[in-house]
Amino acid sequence: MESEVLNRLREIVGEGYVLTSPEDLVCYSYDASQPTLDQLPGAVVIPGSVEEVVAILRLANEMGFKVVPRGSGTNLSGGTVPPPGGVVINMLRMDRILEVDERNLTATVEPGVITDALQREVESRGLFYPPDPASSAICTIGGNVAENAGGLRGLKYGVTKDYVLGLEVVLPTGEVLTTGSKCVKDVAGYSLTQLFIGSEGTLGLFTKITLKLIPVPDAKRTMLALFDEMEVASRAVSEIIASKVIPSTMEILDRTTLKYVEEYKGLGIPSDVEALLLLEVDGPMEVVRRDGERVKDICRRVGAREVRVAESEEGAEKLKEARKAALPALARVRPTTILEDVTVPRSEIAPMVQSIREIASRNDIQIAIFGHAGDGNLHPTCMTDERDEEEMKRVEAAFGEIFRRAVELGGTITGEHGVGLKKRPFLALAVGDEGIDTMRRIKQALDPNDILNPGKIFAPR
Amino acid sequence: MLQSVLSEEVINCMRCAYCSPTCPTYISLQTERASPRGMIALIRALVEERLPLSKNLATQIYHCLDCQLCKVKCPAGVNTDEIFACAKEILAQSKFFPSPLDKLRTRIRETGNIAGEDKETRLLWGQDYSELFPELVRAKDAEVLLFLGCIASLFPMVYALPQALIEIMGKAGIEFTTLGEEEICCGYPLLAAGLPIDDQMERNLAQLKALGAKKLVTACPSCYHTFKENYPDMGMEVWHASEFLAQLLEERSIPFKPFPKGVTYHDPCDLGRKSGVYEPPRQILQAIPGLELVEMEANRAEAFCCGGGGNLESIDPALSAAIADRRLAQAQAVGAQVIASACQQCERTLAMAARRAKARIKVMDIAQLVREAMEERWRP
Repeated sequence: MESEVLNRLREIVGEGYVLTSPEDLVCYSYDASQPTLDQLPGAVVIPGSVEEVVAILRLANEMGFKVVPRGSGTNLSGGTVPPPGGVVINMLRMDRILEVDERNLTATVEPGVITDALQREVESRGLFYPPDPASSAICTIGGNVAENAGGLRGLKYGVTKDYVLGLEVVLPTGEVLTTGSKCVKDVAGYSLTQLFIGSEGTLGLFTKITLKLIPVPDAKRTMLALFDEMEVASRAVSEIIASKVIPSTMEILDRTTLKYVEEYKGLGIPSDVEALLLLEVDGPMEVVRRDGERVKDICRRVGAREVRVAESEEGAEKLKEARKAALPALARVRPTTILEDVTVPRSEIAPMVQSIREIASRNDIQIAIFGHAGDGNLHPTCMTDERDEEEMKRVEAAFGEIFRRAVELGGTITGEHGVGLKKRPFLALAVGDEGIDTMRRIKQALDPNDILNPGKIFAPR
Repeated sequence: MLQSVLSEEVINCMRCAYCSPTCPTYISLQTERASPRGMIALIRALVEERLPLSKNLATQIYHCLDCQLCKVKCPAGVNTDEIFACAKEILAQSKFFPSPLDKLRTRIRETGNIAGEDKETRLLWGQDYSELFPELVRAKDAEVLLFLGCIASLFPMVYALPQALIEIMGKAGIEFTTLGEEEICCGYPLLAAGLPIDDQMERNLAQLKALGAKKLVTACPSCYHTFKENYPDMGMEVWHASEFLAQLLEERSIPFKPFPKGVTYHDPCDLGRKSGVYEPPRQILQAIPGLELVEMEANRAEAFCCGGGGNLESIDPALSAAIADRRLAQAQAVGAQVIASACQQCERTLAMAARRAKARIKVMDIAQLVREAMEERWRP
């Protein structure tokens, strides 16, 4: 990196907050997506205030270097991989919970706040911030907003976008924009807040985020159902929703996942089970009781082989073991684990699972499936070895087919991991050329010099 | 050889960063290269020749406490301990081996202990006990050979531990002895630095075997772990003092007076996570009337290191202290009046943290606690 750029960056944030050692650059060359996407940055800069972020972006425009904002670098789509030789803006120093407003049920935070830390803070006041990406112990709210992160509670509670009321955004050209407010109702002009959510660090850097909170549900009940056929499990999901019960959790594990979970944990799940559903209902006690009974009855009626209902907190933890073990079990099978993400309408879960299996078998690769059945968001997970180039080609081909099939079934190429670099070639499948063109025009309008996370979501023009 | 172990293992890291929020070093330094994920990325870059060996790299790798919490937390089951151990072996043979560790190596080679003290001082803690226990030093065919470890033997701050142990054993009528001034370092700090321990092993084994004891009881969890994991068959059972005391309390009735205090137990990494000894120390505490055992949120396999793990205290004492402060705060958060542990290194670091914080909390070894609660105290 040019020494003039580095010196100017040091003037902005202070000597200790510009990292340039080869070791630091290696450590900011990746996120949680595959190593083939890694790129070394030219420097890492760690701002401590909105003013510093503004100055960094102004400098980037002036001197023509590219930047990428980064929280904890846990995204799975290559979205935080730096532009080659560019500058990583590490937002972890801005990590204060600025306010929890119990009268308006909002929290205002800086982008580097860890999701779990916010959840703990609001829960200590009887409040609830529902989005729960699996990496909540380490991922940041800024990253969650940039990726529009989901989680297990999407069906009932929605995803990050349903909780963002307002943002302070530094635009790529350095202006500070405030969007939204603490008001639930706010239709003053375009909904710019929603424009920035899920923009994957391409349209602006968040420096302040106002989130909606809700009261913590009084009670919950956890259940587990085993099925001999995927279709029957899928029918159970549809019938539960049709019965006007919206479970807070509705997770599905397929037989391949169950096989490895069983090998890893030995939970005693019979080997001929085709699908496992983990279900949780929450709300006021009477509602939980009623919904719990309804869910149990439906599972039995459609033909579940077995339904277990937790009678205690420990019992609930036991039922959750298989779901918790899914990723760890699969990640141990082969050196490389590719955790993918497609969504279909929930009525299409069984056909989608069937297609994924056919595609995997035709391409001679190993894929296990688990995911969020309630919202149709599946995680086909491939166990492979990145050193085997020939196999990796088959993996890539198979995922191409899987994304196409998801779109054919009325779904989309990603439910919660984002497009980043990994799914860029498939974006047109989901949004069409017009969609990409519209996004490009927005990008061009806000970032005329293409300095902010260029080449993510869609290729530069 | 090292390279192939490394390249087979580093590739298993899926870079999810679930390890990062659990790592005491990362929590304190908040920089990616301090996280287990970052360290694995650095080691992978080294193995793939994208990054040369450097002082920076060495400093980072030796910031690891070897507490192995990342290994427990890793969803992919990556053997992070093996990766870091291999990297340290490579660094130990390079010009970037940190000088505090080089000095430690020299001290251990020249004096047989980590403190660089004369070997004659190894029994200072026991000088008042020689009349009471004439068999204290190198008696043949005792039932128990007590291996005290460098810290308990040489740091006056924790002399109370060996003293308590022999008082309890004496009271219970156990025939025991020690190697006295002939005891030398088990080799753990060298292993943790990536160095061989053949010399320590050979000398200790010769001394230990010569006495013909049935059981080797170690006061130090690191010695215990090293004997069990790294030494060849020693021809005798190896026990940690907490296991031995728990068994003793079960077999013999030792009358206790009430100890009405809230006590939390800090699991030493080498005893708990690395050796699987979680319950015996807790059984001992629960045998004491009036004592209320309160668990910290991070306990057993998920316990948070005291900051004294690996060789961090030699490399970066300020960071080691910051980590100890955090563990102290966890004990304070559950309202404990006493932190009990079973490791003199943990007890040292936590006691120093308590002193820094001017906290009204006492740090004690399990053995000290037992001695304090015994109805009849037996002192010289």
